[in-house]
Amino acid sequence: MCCFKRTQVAGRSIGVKEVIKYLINYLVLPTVRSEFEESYLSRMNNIAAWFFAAHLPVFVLIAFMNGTGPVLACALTTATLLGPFLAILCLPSKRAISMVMGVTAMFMGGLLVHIGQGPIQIEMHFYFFVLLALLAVFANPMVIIAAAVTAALHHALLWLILPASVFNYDAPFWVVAVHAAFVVLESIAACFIARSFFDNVIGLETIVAQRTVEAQARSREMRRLLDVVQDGFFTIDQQGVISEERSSATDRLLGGLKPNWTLPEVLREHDPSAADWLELGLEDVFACILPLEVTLAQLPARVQIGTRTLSIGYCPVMNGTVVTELAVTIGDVTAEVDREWLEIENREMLAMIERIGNDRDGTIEFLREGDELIASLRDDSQSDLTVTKRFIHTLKGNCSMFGLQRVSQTCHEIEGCLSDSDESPRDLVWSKLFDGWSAARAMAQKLVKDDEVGIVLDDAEITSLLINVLKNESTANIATRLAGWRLEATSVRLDRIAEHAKRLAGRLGKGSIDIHIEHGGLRIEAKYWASFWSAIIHVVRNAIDHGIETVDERIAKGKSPNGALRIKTAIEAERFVVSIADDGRGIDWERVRLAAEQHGQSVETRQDLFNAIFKDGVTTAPLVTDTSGRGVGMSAIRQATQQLGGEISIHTRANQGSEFCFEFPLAAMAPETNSLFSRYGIKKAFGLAVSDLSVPPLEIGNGGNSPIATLAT
Amino acid sequence: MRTAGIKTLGQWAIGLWACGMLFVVAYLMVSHWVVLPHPASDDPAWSARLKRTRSNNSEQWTVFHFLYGNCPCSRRILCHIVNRFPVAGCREVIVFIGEDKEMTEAAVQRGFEVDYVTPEELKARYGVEAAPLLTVLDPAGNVGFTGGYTTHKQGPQIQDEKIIRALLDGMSVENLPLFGCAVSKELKSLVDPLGLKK
Repeated sequence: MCCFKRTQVAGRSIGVKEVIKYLINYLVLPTVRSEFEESYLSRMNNIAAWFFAAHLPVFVLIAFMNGTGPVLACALTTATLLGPFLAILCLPSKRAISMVMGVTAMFMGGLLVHIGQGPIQIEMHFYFFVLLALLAVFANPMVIIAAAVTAALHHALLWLILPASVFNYDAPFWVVAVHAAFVVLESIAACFIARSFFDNVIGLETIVAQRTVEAQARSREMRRLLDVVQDGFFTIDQQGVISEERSSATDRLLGGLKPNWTLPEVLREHDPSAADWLELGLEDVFACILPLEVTLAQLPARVQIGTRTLSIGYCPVMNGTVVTELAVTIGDVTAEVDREWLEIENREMLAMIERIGNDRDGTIEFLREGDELIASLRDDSQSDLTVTKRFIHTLKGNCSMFGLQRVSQTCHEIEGCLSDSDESPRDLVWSKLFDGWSAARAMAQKLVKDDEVGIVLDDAEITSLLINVLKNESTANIATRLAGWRLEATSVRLDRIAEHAKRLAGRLGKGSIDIHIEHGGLRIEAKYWASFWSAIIHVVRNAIDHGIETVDERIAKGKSPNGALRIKTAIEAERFVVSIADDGRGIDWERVRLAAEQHGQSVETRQDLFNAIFKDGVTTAPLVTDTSGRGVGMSAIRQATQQLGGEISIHTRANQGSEFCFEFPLAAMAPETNSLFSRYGIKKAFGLAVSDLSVPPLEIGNGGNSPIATLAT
Repeated sequence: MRTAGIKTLGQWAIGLWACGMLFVVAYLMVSHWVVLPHPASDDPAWSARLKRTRSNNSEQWTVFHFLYGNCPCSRRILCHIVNRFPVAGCREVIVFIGEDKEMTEAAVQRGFEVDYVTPEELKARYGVEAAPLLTVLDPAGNVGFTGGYTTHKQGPQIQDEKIIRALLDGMSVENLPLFGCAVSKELKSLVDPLGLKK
């Protein structure tokens, strides 16, 4: 016995108690029951009950055939059936009901042996063995044990009642042992099958449920961790479906998420264009045709949800070379954006202060013109999209020049919408523009009053005039000088343009450019020229953005690293000339031709090429930037020039530069003053002021002295 | 509460059912396998009683087949007997308890004698209380064999003819156990106290 008490298994000492405990744990199923097991056992118990019920007619028939009393067989079988049906009705545990089925099986076997009396009586015993094996379908070793115990008790009772009954032919002990061994062996096998069936099939749901609980626990831990952070974390699949596993910040930032919602669907409620953008972008990302860095960069990185601005980051989840999911991080950058805007506002305020200090009248004029443009844009009756584009473009250029970045950006945004869909953007964007302008206007209002426009004179000028009067200068001369005070010096405008050009060049990575201003000491009537000066900004922006090369490019071409720009106003051949010249790459007429043809423009002559440059929408820029590239600015300058009765000519040579010349009649410089003077018999064309210009001429390749073309007005 | 009570009652009923069925099934088995009593071959009183029932022709062996109409084992034996003729040199008498005209007439046609008796008459005249019982008397009226037809319960080899011929050849035959049914009321109440068997 000692050797049974403790034995060595795999180097570990196992006691009898442990073996018994193991056996019990093996035979007795875990107390936890899954819904599947309950459902399965319920079904199997019902099947078993009706299987036993089907024994009734069979047993009656057997009894009838064997002369063992059909009525008695019917009564006894019915009595046996009481057990399973009572169990189904009364026992709460499905497993207990199954055990009753096991016991019933043995009783049915006993009945069969009784009613099957005859030469095949021994064959009737097979029923016990068959049923014992079939009981494995209950996936419960205890059902087998219950059946085996019933059979054992049955035999024991037989033996108690009639010692010679079990083996009525004086069987020796070994026969008894073999008889019992078969039952035990089959029971062990059936128990093994039942337990395996339970572990691998019936109880699998329980195992899965346990694993699920564990996984959920881990998931909760992860979620707790994710919830600590303020950012939204989740993954999206190819369709953009947001994963259920996500940080709580995700729901907070994106609003209540419904199951299986996609990120584009969520965004669509707040920002439809971002949603479309994301949808298209996701296709590209998961298609894996273009480099991932490219496709990921094309996805929207910021969206506006209500009053909040959210940043969106994307990180691909790879399986080999295939993108399976995108890990998405969402952060609330509203405060950051607000801060950025505040900084911009401060910058704008400083720029405005500086601007007012330098060019008070120009600033007022800018504000007035801006007011007019905004009023035109607000006007619902204005439905011409081309005109709208022009207004927006002009406002953008002016705001950019005066340092109002926010309004300039909003204009750029609106231009994008107009360009993409040829439809007016949503009211929200317009509101942004109008609110932005109102804010800028209010800011400017604090610094300068619109009605403060006046003439500022220094002592020298007053003294000079006084001396002229004292010297009895002619009325015409004194009137001329007085009238000149009211006119605006072109130098003011040229300085403003030059300053803008420098800022722009710095922003566009064109380095420090050399700007030469030749104002010629000219003065003009500002109110007639305001729209022209606004429009000419586009020419300057084009020159910086497309004309002048980058520093590296210039060095490679053997040019000076710094680009050069000449801005000039002059009287030449009795014409008032404004010119903008750069020493950049020159106009690529072939590209102009292609761009024009893309817009359905017929290009057969040089004049056609020239006209194409000033056509709405025609642009040679490969990319649209917030500076240029929409083909709107040149159209605006053409219109402004035409309104003043001027002509445009272009001188350009490849890699040497371009010069845009705007020529006007002298009378156009100060039409109101000239008209007044002529009424009093003074023949004087205003605008000309004598001044020695010492600015060296800029060397601009002009393809000879003749312009490539001239726009007839 | 009422439903719970009924369920508890049902659970007790299941326990009782299991115990009851265990007993009933065991009892049924026992009733089949019990070796029924019969008079001993060396009982002189019984030999004398049998002598009185046989014919005067003392040259012949006499074979008694005690068969009970309500006993499946007896009917199986009867079916076997009517399929053969009496062994030559023997007078074979079927003492039939109950009625089965068709079978007994067939037996008569085959040359068997049939004596219809009631259970009471069987005990009174023959001193027998269980069937199927085979009893063979030699010409002197001594009991050469008395017992069952098979070596074990429902044995497929019915050995009556073999036993008779062996005895006729002068060989001694060991008595076989009697498996079958009680016929007399006394024996029935002993082996079938529940009265499940008719």
